[in-house]
This record gives sequence, C-alpha cells and structure tokens, in this order.
Amino acid sequence: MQFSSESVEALVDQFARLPGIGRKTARRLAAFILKLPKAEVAQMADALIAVKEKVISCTTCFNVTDHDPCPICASERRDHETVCVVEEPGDVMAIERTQGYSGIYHVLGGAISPLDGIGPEDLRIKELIARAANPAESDPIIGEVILAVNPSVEGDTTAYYISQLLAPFEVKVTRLARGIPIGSDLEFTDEATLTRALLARVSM
Amino acid sequence: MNVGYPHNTMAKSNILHSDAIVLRSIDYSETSRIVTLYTREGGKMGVIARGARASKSRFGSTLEPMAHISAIIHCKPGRDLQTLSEASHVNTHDELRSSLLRMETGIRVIELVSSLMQSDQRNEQVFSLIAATLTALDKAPGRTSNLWPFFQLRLATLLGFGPAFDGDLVKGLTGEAAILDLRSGHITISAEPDGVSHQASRSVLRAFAVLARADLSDVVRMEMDAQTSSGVGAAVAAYLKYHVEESYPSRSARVFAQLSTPES
Ligand SMILES: [Zn+2]
Repeated sequence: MQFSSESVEALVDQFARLPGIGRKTARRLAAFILKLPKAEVAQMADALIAVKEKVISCTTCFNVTDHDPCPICASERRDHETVCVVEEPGDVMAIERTQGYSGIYHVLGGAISPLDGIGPEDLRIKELIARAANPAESDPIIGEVILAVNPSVEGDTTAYYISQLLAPFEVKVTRLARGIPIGSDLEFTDEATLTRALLARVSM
Repeated sequence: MNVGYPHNTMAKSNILHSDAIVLRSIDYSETSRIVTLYTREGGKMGVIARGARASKSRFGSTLEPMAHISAIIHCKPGRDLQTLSEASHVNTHDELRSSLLRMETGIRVIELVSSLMQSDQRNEQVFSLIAATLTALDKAPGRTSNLWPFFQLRLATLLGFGPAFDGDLVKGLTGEAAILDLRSGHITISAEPDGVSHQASRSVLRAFAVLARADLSDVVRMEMDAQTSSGVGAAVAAYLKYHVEESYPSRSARVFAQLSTPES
C-alpha cells in the first residue's frame, strides 16, 4: 500500500527512521496523524522542535537537561559525595527509575571502544577526573565513584581505565555487580555470567 | 528451539554446528545483534542473533568479542547474514578480560582476523591458532606480551606469506645488527639485492625467528627485555604491513596507545 500523497509518504519516511519502527508501523502512524485535529499535530511538532532548541547538556554531569545545572546536580536532597558514572543519558533514567539511588551522576557519552576507534578523548573522562581531583569550592569532596558502565568488553575497558586514573585520589571506586538476572533460571544461565555471579556473591 | 526446518520450504537452509570465536558484535534494532564469527567449519561469517539484547536473552554473555563459543547457525546460501539460533560458551576467557594489557592483545588478534580473513573461507588451522592464542592469553600467568607478535607471524605463515628464513643461519649470526628482508622474510647479515631491508639488532631478529617457529608453550615462557620486545614488535609490524598493506588494522592500536599514557 502506498499513500497517493507525496507529503504523507514523506512523513512515512520520517517515522520509518525511528528505532523499532518498520514501514508498516510508519504507515499506521502517518494515517493516525492524518486524522488528528491540526492543533494537536502542532503540539506534537512543537514538542519535537523544543527538544532540539531547549535541551542542553549539564555542564557538571553532562546529562540532558533544560536548565544548567540539571535538577539532579542542583538538588540539595541528593548525596553529592557519591557519583554514578554511566555511558548514556538513558542509563541515568534507568537508575532513576529504581528510586534506590540518591547520589549524583556523570554521563560519559559512550564507552571506550578500541574496535570502533573510540578512545578516552572522545568521552567525558577528563571531566570526571577533574570532578574527583579538584572539586569546586562549593562542592563536597567525592567519596565514591560507582562505575555503572555496561558489562561488555567496552564497559570493562572503560572501567579499568577510569579506575587507573582515579587510583591516586582518595576516592572509593566501585562497579555494579554482574550476575544472574532476577526471574531467570540458573540452569539456563551462561557460564561467564554464572562465574561473575559466583565472584560477586554476598553474605547472608 | 527452532532447530529442525521443513524440507519443502523454497530456500533450503542448512544447519551448521560449529565452534566459533566472536570477532564483533553490533546492536541491531531494539532486540537483536549482528555478530561476526570466525567459525571452525565455515570461516568468517556474519550472523543475526534475534533477541540477543534482552536482559534474559538465551544468548547470555556468549556474544562478547573474543568469546569462544559453540554455535548453531541456520545458513541459506547466497545470504549475507545467517541466523544464529543457539550459542554456548566453550571457553569463557574470564582472565582475559581482567587487565587492559590482555584485552589489548585479545582485541588486536580479533581485529587482525576480521581484517585479513575473507568471508566463508574455511581454514581450520587459522581457527585453532586464534583459539589457542586466546586461551594462552587467558591462562598464561605473566608473559603475554609475546603472544601478539607470535600470532601475527603464525597467521602470516598459515596465509602463505610466512617469513622464509634459514633457522641455522639465524643461530649463526654474528655482529650486533642484521637485516630482515620484508619481502622474503630472510634474515641475513647484508641486504639482499632488490630486497626491502628492515635493520634490527641480532637479539631482536633471533627472537623474531623463535616466535615465528616455536611452540606456543615455549613462546609464553620466553624471556625478553623491554628493548628486545619493542624491537620485535616493530619488526613484526613492518613485515605484516609490507605484505598486507592497507589491510593491517591500526584503529585499536591507536586507542590503546591513549590508554597506556596516564601511568607514566
Ligand atoms: Zn547535572
């Protein structure tokens, strides 16, 4: 099926660029937009433009925000002595959803990936070390850096590198435990994950 | 699990059971990954692992670069991407990922294989060399720095351009320096006519000769001072670059060079 309008086809093309959206879904979305009142479509278009015009990156933690510093960095209720280091802004959202973390963040903008030619200079690593080494006068001294990078070869490389750089400072460096996902079955867990889980076992 | 396949489907699919080394793994869509494997039975192959990005995926951590796995692959002739239906660890290579130095060697090994091997060209000896090198990298207590030059020279030999020096001549070398001819791999006192010379110390070229021919178990025990080791690295890189030219990868080396500066 093809729409007989070039404008609608152009919209289908745009939707089809989104992650997880195939051509079929893109056509359904375009058909939906076609039926919406113009005011609602305008609202949607404004929201799209606004993310590009208003969203900046926090100059302290490099998370996406409308205000600098971001609400997390600005909050007095957060623990400013604990910094959780993540690869992407989406990872901040994932940790915030747990409601189990009250510290602040540092977004690297990716992970060191030798096979892709991505090195430390392409990431916000210098800025992290600066936060740990010379905190601004108003900021408390960082006591713990939690490396919440992915459990991949890239994440491992990034974690080793950062922990090396932080070694000279009096800061505790920890990494998220790697192990068996809750709700899964030991019998079907691969050996590497199970080995990690054994190493990271906890006392009861 | 979807292992059997109906006989009367239009495109016939073969099922390949093979050991494989993971060379590369790239996220594809929200749920899948595209993985490049070097398989024992079919050489270099691209496969799609559907559902591999889910946290409770049946592939678990098997699709990480450098993993040695046992794979079941559904192959349709003429397709660029085959389908990976199952993967389990043969060797988890846990220690390999415990230090930057070991990771560097491991990553450079798979990067070189990705770059030099053509798709679908089966070479069991190449597979065994990769698997043995990664295992040694994982298990060897200290000396892993010899493994990278060793791997490159052995791969060159398996691909038909190994250095053709005379072992006795190398043992009998006198004087401080000698010459490695990059074209032939001969090691001599004086430059060959119309050869391409790489000059190095006698100890560097002796080590070069040992790494090109000795057993892996001896290679990991071989002692080398830092100066000889870096000389061997340079000679091996020059030799490989002469033969494979632009295909000699430099990306990961550049990144690892950035990683090693801060301590000094
Ligand atoms: Zn912030």
